[in-house]
Amino acid sequence: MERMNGGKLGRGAMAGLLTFALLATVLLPGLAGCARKQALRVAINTDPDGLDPYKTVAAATFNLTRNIFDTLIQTDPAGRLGPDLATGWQVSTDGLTYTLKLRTDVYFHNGRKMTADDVKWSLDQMRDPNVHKRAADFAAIKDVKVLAPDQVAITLNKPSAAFLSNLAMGWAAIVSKEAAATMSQNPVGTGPFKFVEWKKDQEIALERFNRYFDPKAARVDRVVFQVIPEAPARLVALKAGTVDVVPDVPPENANEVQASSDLKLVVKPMNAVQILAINNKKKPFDDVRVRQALALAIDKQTVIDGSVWGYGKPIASHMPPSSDYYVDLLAQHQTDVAKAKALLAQAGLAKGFKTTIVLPEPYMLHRRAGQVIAEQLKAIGVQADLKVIDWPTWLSEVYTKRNYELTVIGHTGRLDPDPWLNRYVSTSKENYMNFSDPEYDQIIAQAAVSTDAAQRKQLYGRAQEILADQAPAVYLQAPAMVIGLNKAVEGWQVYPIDIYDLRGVSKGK
Amino acid sequence: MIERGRPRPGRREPNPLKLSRRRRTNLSVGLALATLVVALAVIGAVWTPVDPARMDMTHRAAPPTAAHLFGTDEFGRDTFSRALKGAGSAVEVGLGVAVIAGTLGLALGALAGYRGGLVDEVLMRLIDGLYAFPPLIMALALVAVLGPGLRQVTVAIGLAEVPAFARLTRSLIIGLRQQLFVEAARAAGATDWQIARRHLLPNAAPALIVQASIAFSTAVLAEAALSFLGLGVQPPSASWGLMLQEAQSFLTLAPWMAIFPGALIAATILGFNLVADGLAERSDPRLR
Repeated sequence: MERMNGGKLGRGAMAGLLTFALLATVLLPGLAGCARKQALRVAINTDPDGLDPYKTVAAATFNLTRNIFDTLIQTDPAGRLGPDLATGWQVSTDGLTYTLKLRTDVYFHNGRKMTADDVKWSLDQMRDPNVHKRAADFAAIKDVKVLAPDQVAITLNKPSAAFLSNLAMGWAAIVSKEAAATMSQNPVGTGPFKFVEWKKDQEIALERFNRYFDPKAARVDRVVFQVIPEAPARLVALKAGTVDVVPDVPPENANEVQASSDLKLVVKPMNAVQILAINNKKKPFDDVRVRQALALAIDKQTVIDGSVWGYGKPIASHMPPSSDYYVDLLAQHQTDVAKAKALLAQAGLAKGFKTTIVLPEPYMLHRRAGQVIAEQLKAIGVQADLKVIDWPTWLSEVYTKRNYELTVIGHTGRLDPDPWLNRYVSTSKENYMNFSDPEYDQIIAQAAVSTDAAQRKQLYGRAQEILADQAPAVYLQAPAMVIGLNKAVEGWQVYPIDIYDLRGVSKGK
Repeated sequence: MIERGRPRPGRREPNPLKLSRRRRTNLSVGLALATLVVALAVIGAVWTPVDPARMDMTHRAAPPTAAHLFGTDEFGRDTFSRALKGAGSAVEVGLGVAVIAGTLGLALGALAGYRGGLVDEVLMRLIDGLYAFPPLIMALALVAVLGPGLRQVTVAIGLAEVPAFARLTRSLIIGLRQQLFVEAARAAGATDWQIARRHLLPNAAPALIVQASIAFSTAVLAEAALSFLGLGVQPPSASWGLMLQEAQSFLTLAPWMAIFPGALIAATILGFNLVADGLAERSDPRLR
């Protein structure tokens, strides 16, 4: 009894303590929340290889740098071009000179005002192949002139229909020249958020830049990009509330996000295509009938179900349905195993053949698609072995040396149809399919310099038809982007280029 | 992490009767599990309920039913059939590793232990150098050179397990070499080869069999780890490690995709380790 009494007393004290502790835990974070700045936490899958937009081709960098830097021209979520640092532009009648009017209220994060000299300096850096990794995008630039502190004129060697859209890409950022040497680790731009710190393989922190020309753009005080390489771990972090946004939820987990009362799911078409690329120079794929047989044997919907849990749209050529230039060729290119077998027989391969599909290790959707394709090709007697290779090996063996037979890969994030389609031009450095078709080459060359929108549309439509018929690759799907967000997050936009744009994104209670 | 296994050294024994029962239990449970795994592998080699590569998108990630005992995976493939094939991969790697590591390790260890002197010195310093690397790390490095695939993984893990065998064999041989019966045989004019065959090997065999059993379980775990990392068995072939890797993003949606291969890996490791334990205790005269 005595012990019980003692226990009771203790319990009374305990209850008091507990009450206090409970109140403290409820109230303190609230109080702290008032004082502390509001942070938006976004989970990213890889630590970028630097934050200098000129020194990389990696989407992991551009996804973040849009918030630190601005471009002269920007794209809206629908892919339409609009003003950013340039308030307007005029094109000369010969299509060779672009005169850009610049904003006059733009400051770099180091406090210096941006002028036309900075724009010229940046453009000159961009077109220098020794400085910029994507200098080819700006190779058409002949000369950049400063006309006034708020005006520049860009002269091209030849008309380029894709030029303006290239200025909207993440790698066309206007940078601060005095910070150029340390840009990769300590980026200085004009964007809505300024760089604070980078803990390697952990997080990258940005904070609101108070002199940004649009004071309403940044709606949170702080942005933290948290590196979480494993997809299941990103999902757990989202559920636990330690991150607010997971921009790349594995599609098979979409229902799980939707089922949670704290989370919401956004599914948007991605400006990307997934293809089974074929080495058109390797036997037996140099025979168009063999390539067509592959295209006919693969059921795209099954690939979509198996690789992205159904979150994708089938395609028949190298263009996503979200593009204004997209031509729907699916009806003419239905799956037909009997026809595929007949084509193989005509090519003298009635018994089928053996081949190898190499798959890039980092991409789950391509690895899965490869498995589905290998299974489907059995129906026409093609035995495809699978070989998963790491990313550097894929880049050097497949993309650079073109030493492969088949591979599954994605192409993403371009605005103009020219960069989408010019990789199939026989002389293109990026034509790792080794495709060669004189009519195609001629069409792309003609469309690239045409300024007549209707004519371009017609030419690129024809180009897509050629690809669908000649089958330099099997066009599988345009996958969807599946984004998981905390319900408190509003205003997240999805763009046709690889950027996470946090302007207008807010986080409520 | 994989423990580098060695036979248990002798222990003090307060109650021989009680322990001997435990020893028997170890051995019989171990043998039962090991037999089960080998039986699954044999069955899988000749028959599976469904073609393990057959996909069925309308039944993706479906829970276990009579038609699919272990449920289906993200492509609607039968997890039970794939687990049977996975047992085949596991046993193949386990046996392959035991044979490779056993043969090479025995040869090197016996040579060093029997010859002694400079041969011993050179061989053992080399082996010690290799011993410094954890086997899984070494297997990883070897696979990076050999390339992915079941055979390459077997060779890599086999080579990584050689030092343990070599060291053990050497110490056994050194101990035996000084025994009276060996000296007697030598005095009677027996050749080195005869002594090795008649006297050394039979006496070293029990400990080596124990080591082989440990190597088997280590190999199964290492194969699962390498396949999990995408360096081992290549899809669409089946391996428990690969199945676990594929199951990662389905842990809440389709837990059976991870549970069954995971349980089979655990059963295999436990089984072969218990067999090793039981055999070690049985063959060690100090414990008898």
